[in-house]
Parts: sequence; structure tokens; C-alpha cells
Amino acid sequence: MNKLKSSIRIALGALMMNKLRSALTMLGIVIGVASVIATVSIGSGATERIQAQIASIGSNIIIVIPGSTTSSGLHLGAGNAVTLTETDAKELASQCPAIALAVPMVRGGAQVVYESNNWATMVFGVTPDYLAIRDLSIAAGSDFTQQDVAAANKVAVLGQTVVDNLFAGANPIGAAIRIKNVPFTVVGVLAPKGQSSSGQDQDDVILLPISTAKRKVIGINAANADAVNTIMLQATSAAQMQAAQDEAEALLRQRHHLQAGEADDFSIRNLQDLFAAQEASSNIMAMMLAAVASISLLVGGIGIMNIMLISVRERTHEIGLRQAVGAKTRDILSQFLVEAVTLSLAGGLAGIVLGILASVLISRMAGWATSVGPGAVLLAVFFSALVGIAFGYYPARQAAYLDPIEALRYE
Amino acid sequence: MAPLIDVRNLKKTYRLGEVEVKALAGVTLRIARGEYVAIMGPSGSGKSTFMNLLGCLDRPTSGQYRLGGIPVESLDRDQLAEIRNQKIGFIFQNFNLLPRMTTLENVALPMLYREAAAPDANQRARRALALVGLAGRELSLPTQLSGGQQQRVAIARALINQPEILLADEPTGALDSKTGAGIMDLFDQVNREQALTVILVTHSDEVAAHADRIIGFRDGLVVSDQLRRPSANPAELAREAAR
Repeated sequence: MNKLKSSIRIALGALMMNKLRSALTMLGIVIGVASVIATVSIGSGATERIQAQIASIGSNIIIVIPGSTTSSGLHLGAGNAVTLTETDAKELASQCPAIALAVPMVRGGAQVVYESNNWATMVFGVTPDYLAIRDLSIAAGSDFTQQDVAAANKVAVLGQTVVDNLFAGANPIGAAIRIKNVPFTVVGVLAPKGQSSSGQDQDDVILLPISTAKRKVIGINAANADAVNTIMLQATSAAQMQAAQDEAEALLRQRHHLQAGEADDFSIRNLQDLFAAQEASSNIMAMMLAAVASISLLVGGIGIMNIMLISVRERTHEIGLRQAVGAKTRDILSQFLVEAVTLSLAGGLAGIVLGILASVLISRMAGWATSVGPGAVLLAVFFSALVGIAFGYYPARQAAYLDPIEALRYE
Repeated sequence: MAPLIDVRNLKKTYRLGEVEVKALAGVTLRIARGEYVAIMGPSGSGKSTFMNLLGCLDRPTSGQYRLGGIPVESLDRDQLAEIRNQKIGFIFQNFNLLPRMTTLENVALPMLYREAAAPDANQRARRALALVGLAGRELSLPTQLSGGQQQRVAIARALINQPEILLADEPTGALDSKTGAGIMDLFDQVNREQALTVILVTHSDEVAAHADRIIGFRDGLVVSDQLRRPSANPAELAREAAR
């Protein structure tokens, strides 16, 4: 303990003797650690953003869309068939124990007019459970009700972007708007949700009762009046996701009278999986950046080795004297190792500060989310110490195995 | 009782390219505990090589060296370091103090490398400094001291681990004669009062006159061995002679 304390003091003294040289040597480590911290913070910032997006979609969501239609051997894109119905959604909700909620959806675009303002937006025809599934809340007014759906009342809930573009500050609640020339009463405004992962504005939307949307805005499917574009499901818990998917598939196959071996006429998508893939790819990106950054850590380490070799050469006489008064191999070895580690750790700490500054700057200027976790900092400290030991060992060994007589004679 | 230093047919040969240089050509010598010995001889006579071997800084090419009964020639690097730390105090012509350390730290340096840590290291270093007459200069740097004072610090450093032998290679060579005399008085004192074995290499007859025994070297051999007066420890010498 005493030896270590004195080794550290000797090391600091030696480093202070050559301030500029020590600072320049540390620079490699500083840059290396700073870039590792900055890239890792960008990577984990991206991961956090993706997780926030997953949360913004709502939790434990499964989406069912109609399967592709085969028309004279020609596959049309998924979602074109009219195989899913509102009744399917009701049955899924009532018969599958792993499914908490099921919301049928129809979608369409529409022009909306309020007084002299107009705006083109997305119209979703849904049931009141949609808010619960998507984790949406009402900022003003109220949601439409099950009665509104049953009676096909002409009521609408607006997203914030629609409100901003139509009302310009006026109170929208109770206002009369026209959607595709059909008059609607605004009953509520959604709390803002922001951009989706694909960059879509999730607030640029109008929610209508599904019955009203079909009859007045989007139009009834000619083949099946009960048809919907999508059914959104919510599993009872994250652990029940797979069970919910399996139950949904089994029930829909049964309801659609599919024989064993026949392909599904719908497809079930789990959004979490989609985002997990996205998260993995952003992790790979971050790891590649960190690998590039660690090359500069390597270069910094070589710089330390170089300076330590010079330092050993310069202090040969001192080493000889220490040996003469009884310093053993490991005493000299640890003295120079401590010096190298001090150098690299000091560089590492400076690099951490610089890296945090850089990531703050990046998120300010480029608008990327960054996040510096304690893990990244610990990793940086660990790696800079490791670099010190790895690249300090060879010079320290050279010092420890000097011949005492020759070292003493060296001037 | 075995002599403190027992050297038999000690040889040291250096290779300088093709040429072999015989620095020591076969030295046999005994030095008892408490003796005060001066080694003299012209440059290249092998006396410094002999000192380095005595101080365990170097290994002989052949021959035996027993230090307090220990066969030194068979020890490894770290065992030699341990002996230098515990049994030997070195004093160099050019002092060899570490310039960035204070006087006190320089004196305490050998205690840093002891196997058993000395809890009272600072105290002991202070006492050693007081012994060589430098109380109050504990926090000075070597560059703030005169040559004589620096050599006193070096002596305090050599004494700190209570060695059995004090080895001094031209200890007054870099000092003027008056300062040198002060240093020699210090050697006399530790030899008489602590019964410490003192071996010094010198060119100066004046310095050698402080010793009880003068050994002459020439061409790597002992050519003279003269007892000028009885050692401070006559009993030991008598036993030695009786063997």
C-alpha cells in the first residue's frame, strides 16, 4: 500500500516534469476515449429513441391485416383482400383469453374544412378502445363513445396537427367541420404523440366511429360491408404476446374455414419484433463506430509505449540507483506500470469529459438523441487502464531487467 | 566464527568484442566484521570491479564469495537485491541522490524496498539525517545542498537499513579536502561507534590513512595487504588469525 502510494507519487512527479510531453502523449487516449463515449452515446440514444417509439405505439400490440389475394395466379400485395371483418374483431376480443382488446380499423384520406381553412389528413374509423390500445389520451373534450359507433353519429376526434392547421388558436371543441363535405362535430382533441419511427406525424389524424367512417367518409366495401383494413390487438401482457398471436391465428383460420395446409388469408405482425430488428441494426452501427474509435485508442496506446521507452532510457541512472539500494524486479516494473496507467487513466478521464461534451454538442447541433450511461463511462475507464497496462508493460519490463552496474554507469 | 567477507579466487572477465579483459584475475581475501579497510591501486587495477562484486551489484565470472556465510554467486537477481537492501550500504563518488526527491525521501528510499515495511520510516530517516549532522534539512532538495551535505545525505541513506557493510567508492573524490575530511570523520565514527565494517576505495593516501588495513590492487590481483593498526574489534581479528 505504501509502495503503491509512493509509486503513484513518483509517477505523478515524473509526468509533471514533462508537462507538454505528458499532455501530448495523453492526447491519443483522450481522442480515443472521447470518440468511444460519443459514439456509444449516439448508439444508446438511438436505442432509447426506438424504445420510446415502441412505447408510443402502445404496448403489447399485434396487428392483423388481410392476406394477399390471388387473382388468376397473380399475387397482389398483402392487405388487398377483404377477409377481415368487424365480427372477426369482436370474436377475437371475446374468445381469446390472451387478447385484452381488439379494435377494427378502416383507413382513408380526406379533405377537412373548417370555415375558410382546409387540410388534407388521414381518417381512421375505429372503436373507442383504440385510445387504450395506442396509449393515446384526450387533451381536450372527450372521446366518442360506443353509442356513437352504434348510432353512426357524426362526431370526430382530431389530432393536434389537424387542430393547428384548421383552427389557428380557436377552440375546436363543439365546432362544426366538414370531412369530404359531410358535417361533423368535434368532440375531442388528442394529446400530441409526435413522430412515428418512420417519420410520420402521428398527430395528423382524425378519429371517427368506424360505422360513420364507412358510411360517410371512406365508403363501404362493395364485396363485404363488414370488411375492415386492419384489426389491432392488445395482448394481456408482454409474456402473453406469443399466446395471443397463436390464439388469433387459430380463431381466424377457423372463422375463415381454412383447411389444414391451406395458407392463411391474413397475416399477423408483431410490431415489437419489427423494432427489435431496427434496434439491433442501430446497435451494430454503434458497435462499428466504437470499433473505429477504439483504433484511435490503440494508436494512443502506442504513443504511451513510445514515451515510456524514452522515459526508461532517460531515467536509466535513477533505475540503477534504485536497484543498488534494493529495488527488486517487481518494484521497478510496478513503478513504470503505474506511470503508464496514470498517463492513460488521466487521458481517459479527460476523454470522458470531452466525449460527454461532444455528445451534448451532437444532440444540440445534429438533433440526434444521445445518452451517456454509466456503463459507457466505466467501459472507457476500464479500457484506458487496460491500454496503460498493455502498452506500459514492455517498457516497464525493459526497466526492471536493466543490469544495475550498467544502469548506474549510464549518464 | 566465519569472516564477514570470504572471497576465494574471484575472477571477473569482460568481453569487449574479440578482446577479453581480465578485470579480476583471482582475488582471495577475508575481511572480518568491524574492520576498516581501504582499497588502493591505479586506475584499471580492478578495485572498482571488486567493490561492485562485494556490493552484489555484479556477479563474478568464477570463484566464490561468501557474505556472512551466504554463497552470493549462486543467488538470483531479486535475492541479490534483497542482500543489497539489507546488508550493504553504498556510497558513491558522485552521491547519486534522486534530484526530484527531498533529502528525507532520499534517505528513506531503501526502506521503500524492504520486505517488511517499516512503520516508522519517517522517524528513522529523520534520526539518520540528524546522525550525519543534517537535522533541519529534511525538506531540502539535493540541488539546494553543498557537495559535502549531499554526501552526508548519501551516507544517511546507506545507513538507514542498518547494513553490515558500508561500501564507499571514492567517497571524497568529488569534494575539496576540508569537506572530504569531514566525511572521513563520519566514516571513522560509524566504524568505531557502531562497529560497522567499512570498505572504501580511494586514490588518496590521506583518506587511506583513516583505515586500519590497506589492500593494494594491481592488474586484477591483490599485491599488498597491510595492517596499519589493530582493528576497533581486536577480539574478532584475533579469532580470525587463529583459524
